[in-house]
Amino acid sequence: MTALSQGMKTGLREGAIVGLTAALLGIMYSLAALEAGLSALEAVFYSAVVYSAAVQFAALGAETTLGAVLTLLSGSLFICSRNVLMSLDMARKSQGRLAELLSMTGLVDAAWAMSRGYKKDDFWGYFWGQAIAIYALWMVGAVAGVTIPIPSHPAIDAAFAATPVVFFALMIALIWRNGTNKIPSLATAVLTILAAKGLALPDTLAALLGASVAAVTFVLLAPMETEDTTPDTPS
Amino acid sequence: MRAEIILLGFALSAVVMVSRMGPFALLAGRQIHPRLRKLIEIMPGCAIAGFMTTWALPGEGEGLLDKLPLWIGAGTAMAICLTSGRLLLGMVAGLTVAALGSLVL
Repeated sequence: MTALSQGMKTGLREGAIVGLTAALLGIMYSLAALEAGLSALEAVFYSAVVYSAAVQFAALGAETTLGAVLTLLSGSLFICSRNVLMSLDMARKSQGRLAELLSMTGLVDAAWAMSRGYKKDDFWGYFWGQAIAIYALWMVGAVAGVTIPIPSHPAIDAAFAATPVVFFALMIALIWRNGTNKIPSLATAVLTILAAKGLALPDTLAALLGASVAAVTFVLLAPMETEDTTPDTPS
Repeated sequence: MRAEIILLGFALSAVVMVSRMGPFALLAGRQIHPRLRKLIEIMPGCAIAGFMTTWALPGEGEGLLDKLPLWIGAGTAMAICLTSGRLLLGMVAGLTVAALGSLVL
């Protein structure tokens, strides 16, 4: 049996911490899925194969007619736009190995945000460790949500309802801690509010428009640091 | 388990996995302009901020006050994570504040 690399050990350890928050999301999804009429097995199946809370929530209650499914799939493409952006960012670290491409199956917000701050050797071992730990704990949460009776109380309901926003707030804090400029994120929030409430755009479109305008403006206005154009090599 | 659920699950999985692996496969190892590289670096964070904002906004029939506990909870979590780097503590504190806030407000 091959010993785990130091990067993977660190990834598993740190992924377990952030994975506990993913477990909460898993519980929340399972509870919502049961309420929407899915069986326990179906709820766990979705969490196992789709592995995207936002897409799974969007699919709850969807009809299975061809038109409804096509609408759902196209809507999911919009929701997955974050994945596209994170995947492009991860490609900067690529050394062209198949294992790196395969690790992208575990590319979720938490794993991406954590890996942004990892500066040591064995970046891809670290990312694999993160991805495995977060997926495992996500599934633990999904199974717990369909098997363990959760008491119904307004405070518990409120905590579950707050989970996605608190989780994303933590991801942003993590990115900021890793040295990313705060201005584009803050500008995105303001622009998204204006687009959603001022222009009455659908939520996903408002978020993407806000993010695009803020990011492009920031990149055009910010002075460029001197850097080469070769792919990053983890140091 | 219903067959249509299985099919829909795999179709959604395909969309998600293509969005995760496709861009990586296309860009891996390629040289890109520094400004485009900078854009790629900051866009995911912006997208996360945008999606978070839409989820935190009041929906139809909701007032600002209904979402206030959520904002305070998220702010608490961020403050803890930014100052200490402790994710789990931030999550637990943020959710507790949001839950208690919803009872009070």
